[in-house]
Amino acid sequence: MNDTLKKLLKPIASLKLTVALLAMSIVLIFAATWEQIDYGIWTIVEKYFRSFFVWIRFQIFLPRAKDVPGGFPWPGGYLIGPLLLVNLLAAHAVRFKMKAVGSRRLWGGVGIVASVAIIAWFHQSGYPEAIFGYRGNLALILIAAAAYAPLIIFTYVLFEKRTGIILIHTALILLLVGELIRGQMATESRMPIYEGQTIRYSHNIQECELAITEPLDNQRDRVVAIAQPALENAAGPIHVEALPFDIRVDSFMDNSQLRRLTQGEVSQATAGFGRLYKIEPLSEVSGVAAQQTADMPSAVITLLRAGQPIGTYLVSLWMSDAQFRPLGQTVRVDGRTFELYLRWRRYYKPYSMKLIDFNHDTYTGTSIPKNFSSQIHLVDPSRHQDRDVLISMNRPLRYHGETFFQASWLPGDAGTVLQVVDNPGRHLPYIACALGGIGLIIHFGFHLSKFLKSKQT
Amino acid sequence: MRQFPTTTLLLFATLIAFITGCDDPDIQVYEAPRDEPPPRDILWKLPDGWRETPSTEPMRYATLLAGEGDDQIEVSITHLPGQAGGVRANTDRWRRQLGLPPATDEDFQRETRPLQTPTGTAYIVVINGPGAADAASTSVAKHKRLLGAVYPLPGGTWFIKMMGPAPIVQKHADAFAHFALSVRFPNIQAPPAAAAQPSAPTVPSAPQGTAMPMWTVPQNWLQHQQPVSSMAIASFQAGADPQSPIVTITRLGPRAGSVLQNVNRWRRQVNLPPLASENQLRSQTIETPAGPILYFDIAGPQASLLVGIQRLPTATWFYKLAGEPQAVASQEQAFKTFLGSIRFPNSQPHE
Repeated sequence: MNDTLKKLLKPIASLKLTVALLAMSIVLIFAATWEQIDYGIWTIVEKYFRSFFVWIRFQIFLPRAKDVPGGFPWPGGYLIGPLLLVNLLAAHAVRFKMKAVGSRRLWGGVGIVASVAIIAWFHQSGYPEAIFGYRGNLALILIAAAAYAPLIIFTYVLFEKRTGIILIHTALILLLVGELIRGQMATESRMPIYEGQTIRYSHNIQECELAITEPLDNQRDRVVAIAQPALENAAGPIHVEALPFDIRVDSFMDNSQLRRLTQGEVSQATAGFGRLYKIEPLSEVSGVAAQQTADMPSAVITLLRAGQPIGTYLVSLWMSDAQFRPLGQTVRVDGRTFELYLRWRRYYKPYSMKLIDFNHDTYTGTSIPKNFSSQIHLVDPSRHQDRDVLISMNRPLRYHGETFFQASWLPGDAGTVLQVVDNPGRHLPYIACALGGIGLIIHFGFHLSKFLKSKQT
Repeated sequence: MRQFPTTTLLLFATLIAFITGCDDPDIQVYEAPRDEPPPRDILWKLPDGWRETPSTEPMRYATLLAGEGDDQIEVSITHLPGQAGGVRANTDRWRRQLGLPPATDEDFQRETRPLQTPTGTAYIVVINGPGAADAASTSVAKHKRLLGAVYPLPGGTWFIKMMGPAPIVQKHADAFAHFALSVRFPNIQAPPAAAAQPSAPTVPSAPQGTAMPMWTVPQNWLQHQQPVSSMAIASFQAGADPQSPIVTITRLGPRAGSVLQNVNRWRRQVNLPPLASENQLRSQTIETPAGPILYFDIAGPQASLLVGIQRLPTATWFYKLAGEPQAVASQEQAFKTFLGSIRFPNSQPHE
């Protein structure tokens, strides 16, 4: 590396910068924790950790009874994280030297690439259970050790005594990258299925959508789905080519309650069954609330035909039947019939899942849950799948890049609730933890052996 | 290693692009299969103009709205565990909601009628609020009326309630009766007594000594313990399906209008234009031990009627089967057999 570059990189690689960034992270996490008194955990995650800058209010550190104005800007997670990453990589470029030279370096490099491939295959192929069957935890640990051993050996070939620190830093990098992928690409949704019911979608209970459906035939609908951000941030009427009307969002409430109108009260709606109800805004369910329930958004929307209002509707997540199915409000325009829903944001799947049986076992003589399991019939014509699968606690189904966890159950054990996680980087935290753990053992192992040797002499 | 700074910068730039670049589009248009309704503990057929709306009361299973505008009224469906105090305690609760004291035995007998359903005996409740029965009262519109249905089942009791100003409740009374009859509990096994009911021949008691017909009930028909309409002396559900046609038997005086007038009344009910003269009438005759029955097939676009008129010296009997065209067609033969079985044991055979 030439000296000019080294000079340039040196400040970026500075350990002082590392400490400063870590200190900033501590303040960020501290403030985010305090703000959870007022807001839900996902709002905080977005505001503090998935942003470049955050405005931290003084108020959050003080009792809420007093109104305290002002605050200060602070770097958010998306600034601190990449800076830490760059700092770490620069440090390696400037300070860390590879011990191996010549052909050893070459073979070490090739070995590292092959080792990474082995680990990737080990995780991607559905863990050893899928390959070798479950043969006890010891067998599992041995197979995992065999998968990770080449990486440790080749890291030693390249870095010798620095192997431990290299592995720990790699683990940190993987954790940072893993969270970035999760924040940007992962979706988490739920799939509630009643026994005997077939479901073709999962829904995200952190975000709603305004769905306008129009029947195409007896079995299919054309759906116009307008997601929550578009409803919240709509500057003017929303125009969609497929609809003969525009949608004006008069108000949007992140969390709300629905009640019947009392005598003499005037409804916010002029059409639909919303005329009988009133919606009132509620503050978000905070991260410290005893009952961690989902926020229930509502909205007042006006449909416009050529700029003229044709009806104001009240739409709400509360408008559902006893089985939490959204109840639609009918709109007729130009001889076409539409149903209007506010519902959890849906992700339709190319496969269907039918719940054959749901079991909720308890310990004999108690109501303490022992096991939940869902017997599912999976049909996916595009992949020629038509089979039964069993999903239970700690035994998720991994299919089509998604993981299905047994998360909860429907009232009266009438059905199951599966958590569907689609995270392309889902293996990274596992790999990071494994490498970090091994790295720490090696690093402190070297120090221990050095210490013991010095005592002997 | 020499490339490292460039690589680092590139990586950082990619990261920033990645952070700001990815997101699902906020407005999507797509085709999707319609939701499959989850299996329910209770099933019903909504009458025309009824629809389900959100329930804001935590105890309620469902809330329905019947009618539009000023005639609109709410129907609540509630499920309580066990017997929920029994039918008597619940009718008393409803009486309190109307401002009435608990029912006497006489009140209870008058207000409650058993209804045979495939899952056992249910109860239809009609309670008039204070003054509603007083015809001389001037503020009729303020009087309240309650129509209820109670379904005691193993494991719980279902309640259906419609309460409001008497004239509005009255407008929806027929629809309520049809709705209460359409209610089914797919997870409840039919008790043996109710299952045996359908094919048993029935002899209604003869009120005030009037000669009453006897008949043989076709297979799978269910006789309602109480007729669906206040005018009918008996009614049936023609088939096991809740959407099956309804058969009613009505008795009017010997001069119950001309045949043409009656046929035109039925034609209006199924949205057909009236006939101009008796020459246009197309009828068949079904012979019975008690005399001929004039038989009409009145097929409208959405609903069909099969009607038999039997004129006797003391009364005119109307036998009517009504329902969706396909369902009616499937029961036509059974209905004709039923008409052929009509006999009057207490009256002189027709000459």
